[in-house]
Amino acid sequence: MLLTGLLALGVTTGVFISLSILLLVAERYMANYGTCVISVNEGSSVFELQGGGTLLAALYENKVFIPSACGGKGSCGYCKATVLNGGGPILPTETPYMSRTELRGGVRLTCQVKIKENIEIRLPEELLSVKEYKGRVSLVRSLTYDIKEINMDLIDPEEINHRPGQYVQILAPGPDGPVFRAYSISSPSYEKNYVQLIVRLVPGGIASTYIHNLKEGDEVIFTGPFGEFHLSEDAATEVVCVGGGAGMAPISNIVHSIYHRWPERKCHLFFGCRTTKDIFYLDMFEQLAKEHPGFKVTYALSDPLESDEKWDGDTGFIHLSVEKRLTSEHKRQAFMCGPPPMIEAATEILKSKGIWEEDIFYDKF
Amino acid sequence: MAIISIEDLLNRAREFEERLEKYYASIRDESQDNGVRLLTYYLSRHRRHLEEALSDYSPEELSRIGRVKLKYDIEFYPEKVFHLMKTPPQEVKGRELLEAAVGYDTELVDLYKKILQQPLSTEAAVLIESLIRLEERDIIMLKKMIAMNYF
Repeated sequence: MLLTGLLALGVTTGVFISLSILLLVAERYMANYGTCVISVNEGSSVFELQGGGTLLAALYENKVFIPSACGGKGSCGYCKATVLNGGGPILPTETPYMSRTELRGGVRLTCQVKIKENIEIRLPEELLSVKEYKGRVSLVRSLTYDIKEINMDLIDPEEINHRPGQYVQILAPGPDGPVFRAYSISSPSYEKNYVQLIVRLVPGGIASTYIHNLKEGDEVIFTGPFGEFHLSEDAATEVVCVGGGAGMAPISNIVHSIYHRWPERKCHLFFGCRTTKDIFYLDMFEQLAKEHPGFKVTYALSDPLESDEKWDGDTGFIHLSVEKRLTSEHKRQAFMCGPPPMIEAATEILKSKGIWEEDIFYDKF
Repeated sequence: MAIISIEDLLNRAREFEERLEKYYASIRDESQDNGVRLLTYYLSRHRRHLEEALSDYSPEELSRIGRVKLKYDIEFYPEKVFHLMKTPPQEVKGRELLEAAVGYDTELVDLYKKILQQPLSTEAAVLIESLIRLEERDIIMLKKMIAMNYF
């Protein structure tokens, strides 16, 4: 009886697997979608290509670079575009990443859209100016036991224009082919000839392992800049930065960009670490605070100190330092980067201090 | 106990989430790991997300949807997937908490999908679909946190 059951199960599974393989082979070799036309932003970019691939790959091949951090697997939700015509119905793999408004508005994940017909899409204009860069590693420096700072001099093009808080996507070799991963630019926006990253080594992480193994002289490909952080041009607007771990990258960029342009502007940096081993850049920011009286810096340690350690900064969660030290004032913008629990806790406190939700920008991670 | 209406479903989910919140609070009181304690604040917000999704509907709409009867009963025992609640709060690790939360969300998604297979009013189906998206988004964020090895 058991043997018959197992046999039936085996045969059924075999039939399903065979059918799946047959469908994949048929799709690969027999389906011919012919030449399809992709039109971006009412014809501002138009290209023809052989159908069958994904919209994300087609855009990349034609130098239209949009954010994508999972290599087209539909697991990051970044590669959104509004599909006006063609593209077929939205797939169940896309809906978790969409709001109701996006669903109604025809927003799709381009990695999930297969090109079988002419497609017309709309992208934010800003994305059309994103470029692919080749850089050469000029500096690799350990900041902590698991965080490195990497500088890449630009080779082609030789300059990059970016806003404080924006990010690039590094092309890293993965076991199933190249993948892109997003990293915030930590070098200030006035530095146009190189890009600096601050990268935490994630155990088993494809891109962070690749970056941590880079040596001076290695060449790196990346696209960018991307990102929605908008630092107010109004010097009277105080800036609050909250970060933790590798979340320092966009914050370092913002702080240095501010004091290069507005030496008198007010800015308060809050940075959370678990232990003294996670601290970096504190001396540099304390020096900056001496040079610019409008700048305040607060580091907090969330884990208890070892018996032989000394620390005269804050202790506890960083959002509690924000609550304790930030007074309620008007005209503030906040920028945050770190783990989601930190961002959520700090957001509540910033709102309670009178900062409007639209003036709070964050990168979770 | 089987679920026989949408109102049953929402009440059972709320009831379990209240128990979860109490468990998270006990971890905050007893754990020595500050990362884990911070994580419990984040996970406790899950119930608020559910309430926010429901706040798109007026009380009349919710009451109407709640009265929708399921054609076939559905079993829902979330405690089966949340084995962790048997672990003493001071011993719980961050990764275990995240994995348990993913398990619970996945169970909810499966449950909602089973309900969607039944004949429902359009209004009720739209609500259930939005709850599925909510849970799937949460799963993505939790899995990212696991992958980043923060806790």
